[in-house]
Parts: sequence; C-alpha cells; structure tokens
Amino acid sequence: MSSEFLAAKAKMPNLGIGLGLRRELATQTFASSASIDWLELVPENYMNLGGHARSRLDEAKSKFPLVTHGVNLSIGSTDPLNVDYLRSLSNLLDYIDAPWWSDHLCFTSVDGAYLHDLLPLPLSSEAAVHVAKRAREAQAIVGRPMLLENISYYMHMPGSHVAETDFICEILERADCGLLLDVNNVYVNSVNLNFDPYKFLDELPLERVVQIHIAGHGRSDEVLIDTHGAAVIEPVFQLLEYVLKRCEVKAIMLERDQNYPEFEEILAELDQVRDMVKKFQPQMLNKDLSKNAMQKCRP
Amino acid sequence: MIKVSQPKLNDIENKLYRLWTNRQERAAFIEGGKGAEQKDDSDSVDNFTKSIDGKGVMLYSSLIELGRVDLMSSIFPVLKDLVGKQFKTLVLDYFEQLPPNHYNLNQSASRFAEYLRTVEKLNGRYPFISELADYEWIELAVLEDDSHNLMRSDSKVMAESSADPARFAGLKPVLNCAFIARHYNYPVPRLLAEIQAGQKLPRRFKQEPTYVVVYRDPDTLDARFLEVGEVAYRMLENVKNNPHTTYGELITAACSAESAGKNKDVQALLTGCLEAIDQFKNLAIIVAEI
Repeated sequence: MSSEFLAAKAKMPNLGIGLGLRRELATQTFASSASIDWLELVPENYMNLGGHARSRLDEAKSKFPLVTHGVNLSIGSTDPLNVDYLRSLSNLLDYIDAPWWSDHLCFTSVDGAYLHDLLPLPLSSEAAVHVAKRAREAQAIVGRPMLLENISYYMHMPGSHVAETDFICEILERADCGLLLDVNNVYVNSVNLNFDPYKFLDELPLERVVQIHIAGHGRSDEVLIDTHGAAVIEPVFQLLEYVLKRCEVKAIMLERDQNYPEFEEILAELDQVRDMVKKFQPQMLNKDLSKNAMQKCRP
Repeated sequence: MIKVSQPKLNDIENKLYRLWTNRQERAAFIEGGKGAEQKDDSDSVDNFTKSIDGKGVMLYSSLIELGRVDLMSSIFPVLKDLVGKQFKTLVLDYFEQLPPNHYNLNQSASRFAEYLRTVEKLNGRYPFISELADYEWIELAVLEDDSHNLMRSDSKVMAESSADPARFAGLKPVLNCAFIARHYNYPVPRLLAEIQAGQKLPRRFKQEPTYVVVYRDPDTLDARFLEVGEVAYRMLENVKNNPHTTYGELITAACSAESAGKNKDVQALLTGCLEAIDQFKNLAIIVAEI
C-alpha cells in the first residue's frame, strides 16, 4: 500500500536530540543550545497567548528548531473536531515552521467538556475507524505531517476487543500518519498490564516512527505512573536501543515535566541518548535544518 | 436473558466521563456496581456498566481531581488560604457545575468567580469571595492576554505632549492592550493583603467601592495592580470603550460627570485628571498617543 506519509518521512529533517520547552527550565534550556538540538513545545501553552509565553516562544524560535506536541486535539472524542483549535495550531506551526506535529492517541473531551488528561480509548474497530477518519481530517486542515503517540493507561476500557498494537496499526495505516513512539509508555504499560514490551515493539509499524519520547516514571501503590518526574531508567534506555536498531528515527526527545533536578542531570541524560544515537543512528545527528529541508517534508 | 452487544464509543466515553468527574455517580457505581441513572435501563447497558474496571475508575478520577485542585491552588492561593479545607470540595463542585470548555488548561479557572456567587453559605460568611476570586483570576488573564507585547512609546516624548495644552487636547491615548479595570463592592486588595498576612478577619464586612486596574508591564511582562479613584477608573473605561477618544474629550467627559454630581470644583477635577493621565503614562497603562 503506497503511503504519502512514508514518502514525506523520507524527506523530513533529522532533528537530533531534543528537550521539552518548560517554563521552569526555559532560561537554562536557552543557555544550552550547544547541547540541545531542538525543542518540543506544548502548543496549548502558546496558542493565542501573549506576554511571557509569547516572549518564550520567540526566544525558542530564534535558537532552536521547534515541533509541537499537543494534549487537547482529543482525536478519539466523539465530539466534532475543534476546528478553531486546529486553525490556531496551524497558525502556530506556520510561525515556527515545524516539520511535523503530534498529539496523543486518546480522548480528552466529552460533549465539549475538557478533562485535561489523556484518557484511553476502547481498543475496538469502531474506535480505530473513528480516530483514523478524524486524523485524516485534522492532518488535512493543518497541512503538515501528523504523528500520534501511544499513551500510558491505567485501566482496561470497556468495549475493547483487539490488541493494542493492532489498534495502533489500523489507525496509522488508515489515517496515513506517523507514530510518535513513547518507549517509557511502552515500559509502564508492560509492567502494569503484564506484557512483553519487546514483542509489543515488534508488532508496531516501526517504519512510521518519526520521533521517540523517553522519560522517567513514578509508582503509586502497585501501579507505575508516567509522571515525567524522574530520571530515565535503564530498561527504558534498552527499549530505546531496541527501536534504534530497527527503524530510522528523525528525532528523540527527553520529557521532564516535574520534580526538576539540576539542569546538568538533564543534560547528562541527553548525552547518554546522544551516545546511543551516535552508535546506532548517526545520521540523526547530521542535521539538515535549512529552510529548504524543512519545506520539503510537507505533504 | 442478558443481551450481549458492544457498547458504542460515544456511550463509553460519556459513561467514563461521568464516573471520572461526578462524585455522586462514582460513589453509586462503586457501591452498587452501576450508575444511579441506569437502574431502569436495559440489561445490555447494565452489563456494560458491570464490565467497567472500578479500580481504574478510581485511579483516573483521583488523577483528574489532583490536577484540578493543583491548578486552582496555583491560581487562587489566597482564596484557598481563606476557605481552608473547603477548597477541594469547592473546586470539585465547580468543575462539576461548570466543566472546562477550552483547550487551554488555565482557562478552566475562568468561571470560578461566577460559580462562587452561587454558593450561598460561603457568600454569607465572606460576601467578597467572588470578587476575591476575580481579583486573583485577572492576574493570569492579563499575563496570558493575547495582545501583542507592545513596547511603550518614548516616555520623554509622551511627557512633552502634556506641555502643549492645545496639542495635548487633540491627542488620542492608546491603552495598554493587556489591561483590565474592575469595580468591586468590597476592598479586595486590602482584604487579600490581610489574608496573606494571616490577620484575623472581622465577622462582618462593610461594602466599600474599590476600583482596581491590572495591566501587563510592557518591559517585564509581569502583571501590575493599581488601585485608582472612581474618576480615573471611569476615564480608563472610557478610553477602553471608545479608543478614538482624545484627551480633551476624555477630560471634558470626566469633569462633566463629576460636576453634575457632588463635586463642583472643576479646577481641582481638571488637575486630578491631568495627574492621573501622567501617572498612567509613567506606569505604561497608556502606552502611546496618536
């Protein structure tokens, strides 16, 4: 089956090793442009906002290539797509000239009410068809390649009757979009739901992976929670290595959203990722960030 | 006979939404294994409800509640101090009554003052509570306002404009775009300072009209608060509602309104208006003149 997305992926720029732009870390992040290749930002924190947010965005844009990673597209919701949201997002993506954009494979709103949390979808054919249709529409409105991220989740949703990997495959192929593979989410789910994370990775359409997230997690009672509030653990690095040996990736990003350590610790984690990338995918560090390359990846 | 049919995606999302966010429905579900409103429903729906993972519902609801209380604590720290342990219940009830309708997380807090007006018992004890919530909210509203980060005009040039009365009267002041003016019935800034200082509040609160201006400093992008008099407040509202008003028209309107009332000293009013305008320029509430 031909895929416009895979053709577009081949032309996407290699961004390298990145960090999430967070208000609390912004000053140190901006001062470390020699050690950080690119930044990922949460668009909802910058869309239609002035003041410090706008100033931070402008500074980030002047120093780094940027992509967005949204939290409220609500691709799995049965609400109508929020076209105002997509237009605002599109304006932001134009402003930062992002080579791609991403959000989560989940729902975050019901009947127009936002939960501001990433909520799991039932793993069903109905949901897969529904999400894929909306993903195509969203991608068409925005006009840039879209990636969907596999989420961590903490309950079995009623109505689920297919394997998660089949669910993800069906959506990505029907929507012809990319995968933002979060290896920490794979790890967290594998522990909570008791499955083999390597088998899970083998069953994913890894050729559609453009970007990878790595992060740390916490524990609440018997459950691992994807907090982004701790250092990345070795099993997650091992999953990253496993993926890097199997598919071409354009960018890797470290997520750290709370319980911030000394910034040097974050930079050390980025260096650890960089060493791995040098070994398995050195081309990712050959950045071709000219405007021409950024333009070429548009579908 | 139990019907076995797949629940629709819409039904699943709606049901889970209610269980995650509605405390009463969740309690009924946990106690009885099904939602209160579904007791008379079909067996297939009942079967669907029974298939829902109760531990998962509790975990997600606690994560959602934690996020909501954290958000509101960060935006309304003084109000939280004032009401103490009630704060969490108020927040959760607010989110049930007026669920977030915007993708921006902070916007979830935008209707808290409106909600607090409906909580009778709390208003009986703290009649200013809704105004306090508004006062805390507008700081964030100004900080995040979508208007461009305007640079102020050269303050020396603006200061010189006042020196030529004829030219000055024809100039139109340009207001800082990130600007909110409020008229409160209670002295909210003073009450806020007293709560922050841990002072014991009186049993009864007397109404005291208070005029507040909040604006974004063009240099630092921080929010600035300023308490102003009624005349100054009305002048700023006038500029905001009529952006093409000249200084001359502004001062004439202010003096006419005041002299028609109790204040007959027009010269003093004029001086007061000019001083207020100078202060607004110095503080970058007025950022330019055209």
